[in-house]
Amino acid sequence: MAALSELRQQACRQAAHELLAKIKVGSPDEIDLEVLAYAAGKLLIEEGGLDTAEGRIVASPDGGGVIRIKTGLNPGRTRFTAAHEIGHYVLHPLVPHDRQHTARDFTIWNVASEEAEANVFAAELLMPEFLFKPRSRGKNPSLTLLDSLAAEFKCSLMATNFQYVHYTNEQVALVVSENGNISWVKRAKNFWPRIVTGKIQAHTAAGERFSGKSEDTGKMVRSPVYAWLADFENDHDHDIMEDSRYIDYYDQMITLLWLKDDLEER
Amino acid sequence: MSTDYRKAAKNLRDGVSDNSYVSAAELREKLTEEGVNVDQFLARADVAFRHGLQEGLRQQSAQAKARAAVLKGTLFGSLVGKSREALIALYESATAGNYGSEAMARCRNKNAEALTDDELRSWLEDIERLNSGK
Repeated sequence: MAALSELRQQACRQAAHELLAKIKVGSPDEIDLEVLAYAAGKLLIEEGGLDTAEGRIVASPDGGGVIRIKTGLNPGRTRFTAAHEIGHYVLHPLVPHDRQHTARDFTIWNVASEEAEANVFAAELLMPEFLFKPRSRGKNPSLTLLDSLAAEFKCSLMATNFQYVHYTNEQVALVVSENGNISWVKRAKNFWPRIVTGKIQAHTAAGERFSGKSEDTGKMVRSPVYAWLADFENDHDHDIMEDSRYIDYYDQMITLLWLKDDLEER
Repeated sequence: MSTDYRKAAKNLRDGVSDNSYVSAAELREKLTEEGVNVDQFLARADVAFRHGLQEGLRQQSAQAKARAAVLKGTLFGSLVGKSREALIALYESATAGNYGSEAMARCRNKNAEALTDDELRSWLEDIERLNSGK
């Protein structure tokens, strides 16, 4: 399937900024979803009334409606789900809204679809560029850094990863894999090498985690570049930094790759 | 620098209420001379303005929720404790147009069988809320 274009992603981000500007958000603790939902279209957020779905929006295009969030989600998931539903209301306004979303919908980031658009909107609404960039730059990349950003912005780790890779100056890439296969990749602007496709190589930390040989890395560790990068299959001299963690909730592995030492272009 | 804050506050009020006779730079200079930290003042004013705006919306949202709670049950009656059969019957009745055109349109496009009891109940409540919000 086609990837969500940069142009469309930019439009989603812009829409999130416009909503934040409506209520003059100036700090992370002012990103109040109840207020933003009301400002977007007099939407009210309720918890409960869902079992199979995590989120739902029932709303009129001309204003008024209810966003429901499944009870018992962690605060990061709750906020992301609400932001995702607001995203549908703002970005896809032509039809009376009646959408229900499962956990799976919140893992769609790169496929050209309304779900991916709502996810990009939600990430930007919860972690807008003007607040996220100053807090994320100048620090060594790791999932621990992203944990602290996710905590500060009260957001999910997946969304924080996505924002981080989009806004950082570091040579990093996000790799999401499932059942030992790479599902999708998002590279930072200056991460130039191509990442292998298909099966995760056994010599990566992610591969070892999938095969049960080791736990989550817990920090950045060195892996051979040939295991991660296409065009470097015969390079046994260089390493790439890798931080991998299995996310039970989504049944997916998140890997943050970091080219700490730049490589020569092939 | 003067520490006469009463006088500085008066000048600040005068400046805010009628500053047509001074430029922004002149006003800033004058206030600074009077001991006002203009940047800090503006930053605090900005925060107060933002928080006021956000609090206003928060209250509107809370009031709308309270209104919705009062109006609960006005379309379909109380749904609490209703069996699945009773909920489906309500849905079918709404699909037939017995609860207005908006509810009919919403129900016509919904596969109620795919919803769990709780989801169907809360969905009917949400439809009712849309209706009562008109």
